Amino acid sequence: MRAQERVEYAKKLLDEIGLGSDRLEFFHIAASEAPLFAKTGEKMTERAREMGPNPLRSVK
Amino acid sequence: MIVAKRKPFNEIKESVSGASRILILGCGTCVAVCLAGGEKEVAILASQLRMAFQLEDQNVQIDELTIERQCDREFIEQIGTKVNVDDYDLILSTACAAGVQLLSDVFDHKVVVPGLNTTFIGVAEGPGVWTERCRACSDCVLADTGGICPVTICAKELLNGPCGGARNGKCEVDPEKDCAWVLIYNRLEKLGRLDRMKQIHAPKRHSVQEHPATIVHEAYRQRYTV
Amino acid sequence: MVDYEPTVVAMLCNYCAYSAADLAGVGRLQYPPNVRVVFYLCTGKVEILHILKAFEAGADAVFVGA
Repeated sequence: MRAQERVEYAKKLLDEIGLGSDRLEFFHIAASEAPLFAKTGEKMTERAREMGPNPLRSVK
Repeated sequence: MIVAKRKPFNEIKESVSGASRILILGCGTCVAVCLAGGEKEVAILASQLRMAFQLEDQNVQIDELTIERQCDREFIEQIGTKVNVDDYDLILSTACAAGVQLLSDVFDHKVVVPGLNTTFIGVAEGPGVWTERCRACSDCVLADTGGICPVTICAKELLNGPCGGARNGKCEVDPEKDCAWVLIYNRLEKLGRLDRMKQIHAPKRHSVQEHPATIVHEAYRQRYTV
Repeated sequence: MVDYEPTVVAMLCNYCAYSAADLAGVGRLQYPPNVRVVFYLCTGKVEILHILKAFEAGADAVFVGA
């Protein structure tokens, strides 16, 4: 999958600048999997909460 | 074409440190084709540097520009129509080393640093894969070797057949790589030109390799030099 | 800094995750309002630069759904 490969590459780039690759993730979600989408949204929001705000945001 | 690879991010960041206004200058020819220093790669590098400096609370202005070719004065002169180079402390060039050098000749009052490691003259094997095909030896032997360069592909640069270390068509220096002379034999056999292998090549004429080399095309030069 | 509202950017494919998000809406499934959706006709169009720009603009997390 093209998007998946690009996400993997972008993760490397994020690690290089020290932002951390955990802020970016790729998920397979089929059109019928609404609960999985909701769960994924929750999971990433939760992860963002744990990691704290993006340091680039506070600078702005 | 020239194939290059981006330098490690930390090395680039270190080389531009101290500058507060940086121009990242891409090149739209070879390095754009090998996805190392074209417009897109410049944008990615600029975005990365902007974030990295912001994370360290450093205020660095980073602008992007990509020109057609950095190994040609005509194109470098056009930079002035787009940006004022004197607005910047440093130019980070993502051209091959030739481009970087011409750029620092033209702007000899500016610091010019490279963003890439220039690696070889090669071809695109497929999406995202490039291989070396030429060592620029100035004395081409491809006529006798079926279009396969032993100077580049043979680890020992042998000109008169294999060394005897080949195993199942692979090189003894690196078993992952093909033996150049097995490739050459197979190609010549297919072309019905195996007799070409019997040609004895004298040792390579390194004397024809001038470093740094200059090529002058007389007719062209006279016509366009005023 | 502990209680902040993160912004999560979701880059979604029309035929997969976007439809799933749509279905979640139709089915009235609850999901966090922090998720901001970016619609793609196909996530094959997601470029590395889009992801970097999202972070540069201050996104706290990004996910690509396909």
